[in-house]
Amino acid sequence: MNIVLTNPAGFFALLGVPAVILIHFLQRQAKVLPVSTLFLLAHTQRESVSGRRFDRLTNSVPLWLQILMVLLLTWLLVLPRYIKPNSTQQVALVLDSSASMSVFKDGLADHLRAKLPDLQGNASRLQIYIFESLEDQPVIYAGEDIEEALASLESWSPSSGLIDPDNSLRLARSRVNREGILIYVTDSSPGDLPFDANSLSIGEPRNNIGFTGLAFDTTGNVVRWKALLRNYSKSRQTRSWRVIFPDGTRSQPQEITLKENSITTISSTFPSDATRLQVRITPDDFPLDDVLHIVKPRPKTLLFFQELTGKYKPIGEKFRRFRNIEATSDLSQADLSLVTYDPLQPSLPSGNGVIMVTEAARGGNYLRGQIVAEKHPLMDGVNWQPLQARDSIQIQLNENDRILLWQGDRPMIALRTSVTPPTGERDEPKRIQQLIFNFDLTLSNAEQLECTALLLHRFTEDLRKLKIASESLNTEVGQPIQIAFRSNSDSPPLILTRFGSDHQAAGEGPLTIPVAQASFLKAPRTPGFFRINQGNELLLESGCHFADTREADLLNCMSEERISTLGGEAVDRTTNEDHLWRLWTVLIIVALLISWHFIKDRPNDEKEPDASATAQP
Amino acid sequence: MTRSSGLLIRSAEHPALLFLALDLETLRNASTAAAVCAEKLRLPLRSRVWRGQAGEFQGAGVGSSLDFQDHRNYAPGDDPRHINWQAFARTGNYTMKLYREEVRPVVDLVFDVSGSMFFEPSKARRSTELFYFMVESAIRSGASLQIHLVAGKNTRALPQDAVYNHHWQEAVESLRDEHSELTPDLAGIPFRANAFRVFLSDLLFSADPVQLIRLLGQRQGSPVIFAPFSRSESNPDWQGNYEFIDAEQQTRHPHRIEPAVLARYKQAYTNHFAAWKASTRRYHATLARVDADGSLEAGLYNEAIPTGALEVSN
Repeated sequence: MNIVLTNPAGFFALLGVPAVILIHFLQRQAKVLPVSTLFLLAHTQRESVSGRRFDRLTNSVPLWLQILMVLLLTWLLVLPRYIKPNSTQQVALVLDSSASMSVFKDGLADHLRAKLPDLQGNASRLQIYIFESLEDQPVIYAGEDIEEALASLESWSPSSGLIDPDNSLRLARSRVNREGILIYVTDSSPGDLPFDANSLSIGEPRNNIGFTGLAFDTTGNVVRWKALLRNYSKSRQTRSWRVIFPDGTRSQPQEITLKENSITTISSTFPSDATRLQVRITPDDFPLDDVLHIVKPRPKTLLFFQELTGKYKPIGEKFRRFRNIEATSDLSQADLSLVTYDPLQPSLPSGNGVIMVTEAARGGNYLRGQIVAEKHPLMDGVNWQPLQARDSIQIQLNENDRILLWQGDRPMIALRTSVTPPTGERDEPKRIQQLIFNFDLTLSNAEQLECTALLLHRFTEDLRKLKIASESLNTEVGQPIQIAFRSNSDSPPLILTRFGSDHQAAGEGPLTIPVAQASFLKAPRTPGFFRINQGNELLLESGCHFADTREADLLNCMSEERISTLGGEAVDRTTNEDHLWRLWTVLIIVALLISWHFIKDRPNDEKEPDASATAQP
Repeated sequence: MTRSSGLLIRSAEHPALLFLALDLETLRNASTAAAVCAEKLRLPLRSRVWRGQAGEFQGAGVGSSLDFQDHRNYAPGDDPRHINWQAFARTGNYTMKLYREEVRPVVDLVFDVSGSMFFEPSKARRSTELFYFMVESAIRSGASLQIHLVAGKNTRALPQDAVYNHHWQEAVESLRDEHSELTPDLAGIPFRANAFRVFLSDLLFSADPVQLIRLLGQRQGSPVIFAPFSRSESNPDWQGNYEFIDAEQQTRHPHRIEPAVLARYKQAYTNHFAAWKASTRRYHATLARVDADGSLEAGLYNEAIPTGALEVSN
């Protein structure tokens, strides 16, 4: 029946029925009267001792009218409403994409199967939307079938770090209308949620031990990996760990015991012939942090060409000792050049480089004036105040050069950026960066300052990022990856291929990333090895692991339901009121008046007869 | 018996029974009212021919009254005082002048003293007045009166002195029984032959009228029934829940009286007395119902005179 009673508490008005009956019993207390014609009464009325109280209630018009009034009043108080045939209740579920939800994912369908039918309320249909709290993920389900919606959750795999759900909640609220129900499904207390969102927490505290970090220590050619292992529980835990090599061989398991809420480090060396390996501990409820996929780090190497005068040779030697930098004598192969500026031969290198002024003279006075560093990533957080430089010749700077450091009115360090057009060897324009020291470093204390080394290091790192070459590095799941790739119109797309990982979904093929989207590249959301190619060129080989300690700590998980009932507006939207309520009200009044009329016309001798008064002559 | 401050009396032998009794002054007033009424009305004793002891009423045989009846020839042994000397002078034959016999009428008064006759003041007063009236009227007529009290199956002959000194209620009390039957049993009463039988009862019992009327009419009896009634019986205004107390046995009976039930009761009441009237007509008895409201004289004039249960004194 398409009727819904919006105020079930109105049924308490039915207590008026026994109240009316009781009042009638009290009002109709039997009068005692001596009679001489009882045998005539016996002929006219059945006398039943056991059922006499029921007989007393029959055919009493006021009684039935008053009961009718109570029933009508009850009907009015329960606020009956008729369901509109085409009404729809929209429900948007935003599932917490954080990795800890993977522990409780199996019970999610049962929770939702129990809750969703009730959310339909009075509407004739239920429209379900299921989102992830990761706003860049597609909608998991949109439709009207609860079972289909729950089936769609089977392929959902939460694995990201801690996420602020506000953006997803805003997106979901915009999808459902204002009366729609928005529920954030998580495993812990979500706090106060915006956009009138309800919450459903389905978690419970669990013990967990997992990897939280990875570091390397390189000594000569020996690379040692060090993994942090943390016990998130409140009790002492014992696990065993082992290393799995690329050829499938496994090391002997080693047992490790961690005190409550403690961190320990396990480490081992990379085999010389291995470029990657896995470290596993005994699995527990939260499997994401039970395995560590490690690749031997192999950063891109910069080749530099140096053309320095004699007094700058020590600086060139220091530069050579920077990590992952190698010297080359072939200028065309070099990624950058380290040159000095001779005003007598004022030619500057065409490619990336560091240009330093060399003063043939003994040198002038120390420069005076306030040292001011411009706001630039290369200068961020660096203190140049200890710099003492002597006056020297200057490089002719142009207006496009970005001054990084001033002393008084004199530009001391500048960054020159230019773009060279495509050549026959290159089919794309090349970005050229030149760091210009506009003073003689050898006539200053800059060589001894940390800020100089830091600036040079930052500059080379920027160049390294821009170099298109293969590298190996370890990443965390979902980590944004910045790699240099060919970005001209004819460049092939990037291909992300996962390999050697148990978490690789069955049938999951290589992921093709268009060049236009390659700037937003992220590591996979599940741990494992992966590589990125552009055409036949390998750009990156990586092992990604889960290391979000906030998600791995399951002690704060809890079960809680904060789903408010449907508001009055939703009820108004999905149902129509009982248009006969005026008629029922009039009937109540009419019944009241008729009942009063009957009671008023009752004979006055209803009073209890007085036996002594009866006996008076 | 203990007499309460009012007129309610609880039987000492049967405490459960509660009767309405009349005090001495009320009895005297009732006796006076009956005596006054008896001067105007009388039992229809003269409307029939009596046999029996000499008295004031014309008998069936020849007697010594002044009423001339016939002539016949003298026979030895005849009373010479009744020889018609004038006829002897004219004819020379002894002719006897015969006069009607004067006899005493016989009246058997049966007084139903069941609780319903006294269950409310007006009806108790009217029952008492009728009782005194019957006794007074019979005595004034020179009738041979025998009074029988009946309560269910219990009967007792009441001497006339008990009526005169108003002590008859004590006899009434001794008759009442907690388990007495509702229907008066007249079979145990030694009715006299050719008696004028007055039955004073409200007839509020469910017995067959024919059987009772036949008992009253046995041995050439002339039954006359006086039935006092009150308006509360004939036209009650009951409505609602009642716990009726049986006037006879003091038992309580819960009833709910709706208008339909009341109408059926009134119809049953009417049918009950219609059956009695039909039976009395069928067996040549007379039934006079006397209203307990109003004066005794008015009550008697309303129905006793028209039905011939009483007649007006000359």
